[in-house]
Amino acid sequence: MSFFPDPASFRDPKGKVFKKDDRIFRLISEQGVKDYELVKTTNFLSNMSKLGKIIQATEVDPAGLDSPDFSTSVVLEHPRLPFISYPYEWCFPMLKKAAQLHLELQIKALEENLMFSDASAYNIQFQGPQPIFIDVLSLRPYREGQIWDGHRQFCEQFLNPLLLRSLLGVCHNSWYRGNLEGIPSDEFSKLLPWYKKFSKNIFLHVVLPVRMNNLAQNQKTDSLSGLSSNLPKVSLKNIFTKLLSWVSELQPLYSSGSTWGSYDSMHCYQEEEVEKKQQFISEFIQNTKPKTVWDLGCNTGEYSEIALKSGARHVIGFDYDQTSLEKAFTRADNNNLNLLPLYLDGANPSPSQGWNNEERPGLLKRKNADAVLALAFEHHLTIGRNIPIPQFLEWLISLAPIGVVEFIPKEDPNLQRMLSLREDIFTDYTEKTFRNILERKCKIIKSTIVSKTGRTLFWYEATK
Amino acid sequence: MKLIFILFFLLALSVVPAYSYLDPGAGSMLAQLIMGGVAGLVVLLKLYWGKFKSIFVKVDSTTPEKENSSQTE
Repeated sequence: MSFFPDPASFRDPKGKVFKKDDRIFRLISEQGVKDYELVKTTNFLSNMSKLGKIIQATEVDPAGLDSPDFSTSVVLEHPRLPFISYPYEWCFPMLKKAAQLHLELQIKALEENLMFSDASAYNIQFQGPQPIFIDVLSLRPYREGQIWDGHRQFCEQFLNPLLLRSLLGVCHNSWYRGNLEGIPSDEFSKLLPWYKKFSKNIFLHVVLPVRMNNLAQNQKTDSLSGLSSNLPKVSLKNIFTKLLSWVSELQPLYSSGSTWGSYDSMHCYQEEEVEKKQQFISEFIQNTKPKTVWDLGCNTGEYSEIALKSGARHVIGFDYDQTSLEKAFTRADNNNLNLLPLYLDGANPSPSQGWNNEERPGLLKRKNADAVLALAFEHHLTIGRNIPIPQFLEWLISLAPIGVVEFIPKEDPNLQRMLSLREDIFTDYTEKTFRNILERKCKIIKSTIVSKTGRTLFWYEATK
Repeated sequence: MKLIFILFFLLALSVVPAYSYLDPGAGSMLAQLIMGGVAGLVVLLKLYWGKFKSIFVKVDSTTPEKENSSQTE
């Protein structure tokens, strides 16, 4: 079979996504064609796609695709995005930007008498720091008086996760990853202090829907039917615009400071060390010319930026520190870099999950790196999480055949701090052992000591 | 308007949570209608009237089973 259905595309009977080689197709079923044709008459899709807010969709002739299933349907082709990421891998400003895009599109769509049939955060992806809406089929003609079907979903997938951080200082990632559909309002409202519930927006979008839901549970279904077409259009627009201005004001609450957020500015590294590292990375990228680089432990994205300036086309940065990720995202946004910073606990990467364990593929199933950078990263796994060096290196090499890895010796103050309160069980943890294990699987192209404490960079190439 | 808003606060906060199940979108729908204004007030009063009436009227056991439709795109 040459066309593979996307495992996450099963909810909406009006269309399905298929992949063939490197191409992405969206098949519109007979049920969906009428709505699609109506939506098309407004030019909303093409206008938004010109602005880069909605993914491009080109109609292709089904006859030319050599698939009998497609012969009677409308088929769209979308450009392939460099990487698919999920809201539980995003930091606060990314989720906020995605929420803002969703609401902006809703407002603009309503002006054209269109509505989105849902408000799934998974319908938004990032190209570098720019969000883009990908599910063109969720646009439907607006029916007079209709309510916003996606309100509950918007609250659970965007609003509550943002409020969790903004009001309580707790990051959304773990809860979101566990639940996939976001943070349910009934659970979230239980965490809110009583006085917060009296704030107007929190009351209207979190407390009231939960209370109304409880109230509605005692009603016969027919007493509620028909109510969903009683909302004046002006009120609907008002809900969107007020929600947008509220979401735009939300800021993360920093309760106890971040582990690595100030790393960059702590001058932990000497200037000379930074320069040596930059030169090494630059030389590596210029020589190996990778298209996509994964920067593990990207911190604020300093070396990701070097990689991009040295010729890499995309960098996907990973870190587990939220403040660092937020700074990396701001760097990408301000400097217009093709850098996508994502949340990662290296010892527990995103698993394959959702329906049939296939809906949201795990991080390792989405690997697309031509090269990896792992600077000041190794010790977090080998010392911090007790992962043996051979296993760590095997994992690293499995991500991409070439890369740069930094070894942090025991003499380094950072490592001494990590070991200060625990027994040193790492008797074999030396530069020599690290080098030997690396050489079992790789050819070391170049190695350089970059600090007085003996931090060493290895440029390696896997041997087959 | 402010008075109505305060009234909603008090009414909604006084509701005792029920643990049976209906379409979880119902809460969002009602909240939007309330945000929508006058129509919402009518709906809310109707709902509270139903709740009040149910104290005196025996519950109809033939009520169709309510479905969970929490899975949305």
